[in-house]
Amino acid sequence: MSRFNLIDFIPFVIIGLFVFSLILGPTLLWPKYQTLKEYQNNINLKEIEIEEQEQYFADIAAIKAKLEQNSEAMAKIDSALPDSIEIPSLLNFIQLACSQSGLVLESISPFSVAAVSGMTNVKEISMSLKVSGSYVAVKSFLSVIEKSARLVEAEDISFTSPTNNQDLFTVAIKIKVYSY
Amino acid sequence: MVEIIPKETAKLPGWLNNLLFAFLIILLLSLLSYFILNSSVKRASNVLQSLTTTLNELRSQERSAAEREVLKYNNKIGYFFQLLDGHLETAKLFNLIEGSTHPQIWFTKFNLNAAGDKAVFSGKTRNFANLGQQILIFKQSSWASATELQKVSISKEGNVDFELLVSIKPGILK
Repeated sequence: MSRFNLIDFIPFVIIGLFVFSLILGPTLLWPKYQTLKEYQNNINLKEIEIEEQEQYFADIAAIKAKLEQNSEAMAKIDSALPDSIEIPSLLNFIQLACSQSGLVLESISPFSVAAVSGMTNVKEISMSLKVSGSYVAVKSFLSVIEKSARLVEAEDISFTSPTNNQDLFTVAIKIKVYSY
Repeated sequence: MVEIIPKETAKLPGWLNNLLFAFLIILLLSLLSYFILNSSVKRASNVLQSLTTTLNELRSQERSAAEREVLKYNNKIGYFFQLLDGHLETAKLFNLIEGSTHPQIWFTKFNLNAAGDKAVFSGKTRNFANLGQQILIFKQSSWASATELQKVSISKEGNVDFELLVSIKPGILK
């Protein structure tokens, strides 16, 4: 009867170790290595992103400081392009401009609001006015509204001359203002 | 029969011994690598998580508000200058028209389409010569690019009634 001898099993052990090593590499080590590589790439990307964000917010802070320094200019832009339509103040301004120029504001048509193409958030408010007064007063009124702090444009102007010299001009003016 | 002298144990051949040893080392190294990789992955995961938190904290409410304000003004300033470039000043056209009006011409109606750079003048005069001169004055003016006689008639009083379409040079109203 032959005795059990460990040495006889050594070649099988070696083959087993060889096979185990072959399996261990692709099934455990390689996926772990890939995961680690992916994490490292993500870490690098996040570090770059953090750096860029820090730079971006530093730039934002610098620009904000500059805007605050130029608050007067910003206030002018705000009044030219106010954040809301502000119809009552606009109508008040028109009424004042009329009386300052010597015109009588006869009527104001209902206003319409439309988005300005190519300008996000910018709205265009149009309305038609009917005023009466002398030719000089009409010129003065147009000059006042067109040079005002708020961007006002007279788009269409039409009038008929009075039949006799004492009569006043009745002028229809379509104006356009903007808001943001 | 009892063996008095024990048999010599069979020895492993040297190369097989080396092979066994080498594979054992490979196995140990593989296991060690696995544990090192595993711990590195855990560490990297923690670092990534902390970086993500840092990135989220960078976008604080205060900074986001500042960003919104700056972006708003950035757009607003751009649009303001765009609108200012196209801003129409019709008031100055009246002075130009006054300087280009024939003394014998009486304008009865005026219609200005500022956006389209067009103006329609209706008027009357005593004769065609005056009308011709008026058209010539407009044509030679610094502000009109074209003048077109659209209507002409003789009234009961014998006056010449007319309608002129005048194209205004681009940029005159700006």
